[in-house]
Amino acid sequence: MDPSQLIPSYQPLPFPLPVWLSQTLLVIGLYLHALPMNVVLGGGFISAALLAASRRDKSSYCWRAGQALASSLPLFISFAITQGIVPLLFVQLLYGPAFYTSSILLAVPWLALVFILLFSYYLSYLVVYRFLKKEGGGNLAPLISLTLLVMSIGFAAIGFTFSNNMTLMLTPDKWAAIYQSNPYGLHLNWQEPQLLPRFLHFFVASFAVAGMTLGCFGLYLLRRSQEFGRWLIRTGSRLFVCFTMVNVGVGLWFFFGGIPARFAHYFAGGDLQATYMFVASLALAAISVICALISSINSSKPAFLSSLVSTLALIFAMIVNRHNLRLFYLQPYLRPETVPVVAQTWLLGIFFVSAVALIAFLFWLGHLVWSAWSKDASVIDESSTA
Amino acid sequence: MNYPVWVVPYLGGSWVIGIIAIIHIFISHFAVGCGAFFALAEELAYRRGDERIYAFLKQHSRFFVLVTTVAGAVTGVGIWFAVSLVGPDGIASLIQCFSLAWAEEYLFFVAELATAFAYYYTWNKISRQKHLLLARLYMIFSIATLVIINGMLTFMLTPGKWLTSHNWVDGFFNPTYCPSLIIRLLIMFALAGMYALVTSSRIAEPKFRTFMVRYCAKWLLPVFVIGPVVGFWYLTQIPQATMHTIFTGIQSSGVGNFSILARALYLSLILSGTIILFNFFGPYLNPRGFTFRIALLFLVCGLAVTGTTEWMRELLRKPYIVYGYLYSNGMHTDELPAKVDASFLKKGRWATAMATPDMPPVAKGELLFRYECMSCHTVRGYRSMKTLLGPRDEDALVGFLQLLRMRDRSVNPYSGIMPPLVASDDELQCLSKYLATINQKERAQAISMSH
Repeated sequence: MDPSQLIPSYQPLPFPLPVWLSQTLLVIGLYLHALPMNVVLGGGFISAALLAASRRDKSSYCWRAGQALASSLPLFISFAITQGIVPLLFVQLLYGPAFYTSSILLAVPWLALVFILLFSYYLSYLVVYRFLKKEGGGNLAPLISLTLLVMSIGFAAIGFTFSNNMTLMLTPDKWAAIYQSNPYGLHLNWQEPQLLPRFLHFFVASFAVAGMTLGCFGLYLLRRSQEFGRWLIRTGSRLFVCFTMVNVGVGLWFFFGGIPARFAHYFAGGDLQATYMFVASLALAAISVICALISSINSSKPAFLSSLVSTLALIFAMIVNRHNLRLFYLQPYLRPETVPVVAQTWLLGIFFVSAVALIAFLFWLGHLVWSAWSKDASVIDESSTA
Repeated sequence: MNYPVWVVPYLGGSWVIGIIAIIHIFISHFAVGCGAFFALAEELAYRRGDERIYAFLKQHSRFFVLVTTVAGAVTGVGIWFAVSLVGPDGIASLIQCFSLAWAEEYLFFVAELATAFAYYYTWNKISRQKHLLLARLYMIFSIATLVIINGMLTFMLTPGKWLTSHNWVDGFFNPTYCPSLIIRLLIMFALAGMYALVTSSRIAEPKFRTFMVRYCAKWLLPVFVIGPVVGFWYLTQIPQATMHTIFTGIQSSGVGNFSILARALYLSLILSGTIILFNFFGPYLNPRGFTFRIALLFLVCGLAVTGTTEWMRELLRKPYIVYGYLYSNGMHTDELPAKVDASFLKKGRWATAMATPDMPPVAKGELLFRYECMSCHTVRGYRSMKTLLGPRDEDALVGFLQLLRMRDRSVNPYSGIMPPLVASDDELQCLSKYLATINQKERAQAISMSH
C-alpha cells in the first residue's frame, strides 16, 4: 500500500500563523521543555544513587547533594509539564496528521504515560514531604532511594513512549500493517532501528544535564559554603564529562546505525543549513566537555560557567537537529506549507506582548522568592507585622 | 474516516475522555475558585490580623498545591491526549482555529502555576502585603485561563456566526460564552468552598472551626442563588434541536420513556438540590456538628454533580463535535453526500485504505461500524449494540439502517441525535450482516421463546 495514501488530510481551515513562526515556536517550546525534563529524568536517578551511596552519613556532601537534587524535583517536574504544552500544541498544528495517527496506533501506552506521570509526580512529593523532611531521614535512606528509583523508571518509561511515538509518526510505511494487526492501540515501535539509540541518546544526556544542575547548585552555594560549593561543581562536572563521553558513543550508533543513510547524508553536507547546525552542535559538545573537564579538576567557576553556557546552546542545537531530521523524514508525505494561512494578527500581537509581560513577571516573582529565601524569615515577619 | 479508529471495547472512546475530563474539571474548577478563596480569605485575615486564618490558609495551600499542580495539571494533559486519540479531527479543527488562543492560555497557565508555587513557598518569608498580592495575582491569572478556555469549550456547542465567517472572534465569543463563563465561575466558587470545608473540618479549636466552616459554606450559596437564572439564560442560547430533545424527554417522563439528556438534567438538579439543602442545614446553620467525614461526602456529591453536568453538556452537543460543522464520527457536514445511497468507503483516507476489494461482507460491515458508529457505540458495553439491536433479524436491520440513512427529521427520528448514515445499498447490506453477528444470541432466544 502506498503510504502517502494513508496520510490524513489537514482540516479544511487555514492556519492562524505562518508555518515558519509555528516551527520557531515549536523548537523554542521544546527547548524550554527539554531543560527541566532532562533535570527530572537524570536528576531522579542521580539523587537516588547519591542518597544510597551516603546512606550512613547524613552530614556528607554526597547526602546533602542528593537531598538538594531530590527536593528540587517537584518544581522541575511542574516546569517540564507546563513547558510541554507549547511543543505539543504546535506539533499537532504542523504535523497533526502524522502525530495523531501514530498516537492512535500506540494509544494504550501513549495514554498510560499520563497515569505514570501522575504516579511518579506524587512519588517526588512523597520523597520530599514524607521522607526527607522527617527527622532521622537517614534511616529511611534505602526507602528514599528506592522511591526515587521507581519514580525515575516511571519518567524513563514516559521518555521511551515518547521516542516510540515520535519515531512512528515519521514512518507512515509501517502504519497500515500495525493497524491491521491490532486496532486496540497496543503497539510499540520496536522494529524501528533508530528507536533504541535515539532514546538512549536523550536518556544518557539527561544524566549529563543533571550533573550540570548539581554544578549550578554549587554556584549558588559558593557564597555560603565555599568548600561544599566547590565539591558540587567538581562532582557535577565529572558526571557531565563521563555521561557526555558515553553519549558520544551512543550518538555515533544513532547516526550510523539508527538513521537511514539518505537522511544522515543531509547532516554531512547534503543540506547546508542542517550541516552547519550539526557541526555547531559537535563543536559545542567539544567546548562543553573541555570546560567541564577543567572544572572537574579544579572546581573553576569560569570554566564551569563556560561549560554551562555551551551546554545550554548545545541542547538548543540538538533540538534543531532533531527538528531537521523530522522534516527530512516527513518531506515526501506532509507539507504544512501547502495549508493556507490567514494570520490572526491581533491575537498574535497580544500573544507576543503577553509573552514579554510574562517574562518580566517571572523575573519579578523569581526575585521576590529568591530574596525571601535568602533573608531570615523571622526578621521580615517582625518588620512587616509591626 | 480520515484517521484510524482506536477500538476501545466495552468502555468506548467517549468514556476514556469522560473519566479523565470529569476528574480534571473537578480539580481545575477548584484551582480557579480557590484563587478567589485565597485572595478573599487572606484579605479577611489581613484586615482582622487573625493568625488563625493565616495558619488555616497555609495548611490549605499545601493541600491545594498538591492537588492542583499535580493531579490538575496532569489530567489536563490527559484530556488532550485522550481527545486526540478518540476524536483527532475534532481536536485538529480546534487547534487549527484556536492555536493562538491556546498559546495565550498557556502563558496565563505558566503565570498561574508560578504564582501558586511562589504563594506556597513564601509563607512567613515575605511581607503580608506582598503575600496578599500574590493571592490576588493568582486569582487573576487563574480566572484568565478560564476566560480563554471557556471560549473554546463553548464554541463546540454553539459556534454561532463562525459557521459562515470562519473568523476566530465569532467562534470564540459565541452565544453561550457569557452564560457559561458565569456558571463556571459560580461552580468554581462552590467547589472552592467544598474543598475548604475539608480543611476546616480538621481545625482543632471548636470556636474557630465553627467560624471557618460557616465561612466556607457561604461560598456554596452564590451558585444556588444566581445559578438557576444564568442556567436558564444558557439554555436559551443552545441550539433549538437540542432544546427540543430535552423537552421531548421531560414531557414524556410521565410515561417513562424520557431521553437520556432529560435524565442527566434531572440527576444534576437532584444532586445540586441535595448539596444546597445539606449545605444550608449543615455547615451554614449548624457548623459545630460538621465533621471531616461529612466534608468528604460533600466532595463526593460535588464530583457526582460535576460528572453528571459535564456528561449532560457533552450530550447536548450530539451528534456533533462542533455543532453544525463536524459530526461525532469525524465527518464534516459539508462532506455529506447529496445522494442518500452514496458510498461511505470511498471517502476519507483510512476508511478507503482499509477497505480492500476482496473483503468479505461481514468484515466490510465491521469497518463501516467502526468508522460510522464506534465514536458513540460499543459492541458490548457503553451504548451497547447488543442491547440496542435486540432480537432484530437481518431484514429488520436493513430496514432500520435505511431509516438511519434518511435526513428528513419527520422520517428519521434519530436524525437530531445521530449523524446520518452514509452507505451505498451494498454497504448497507454488509453493515446489517455484521450487526446480525452481534445479536445472534438474542435472536436465538427470541425464536426459542416464540416456539
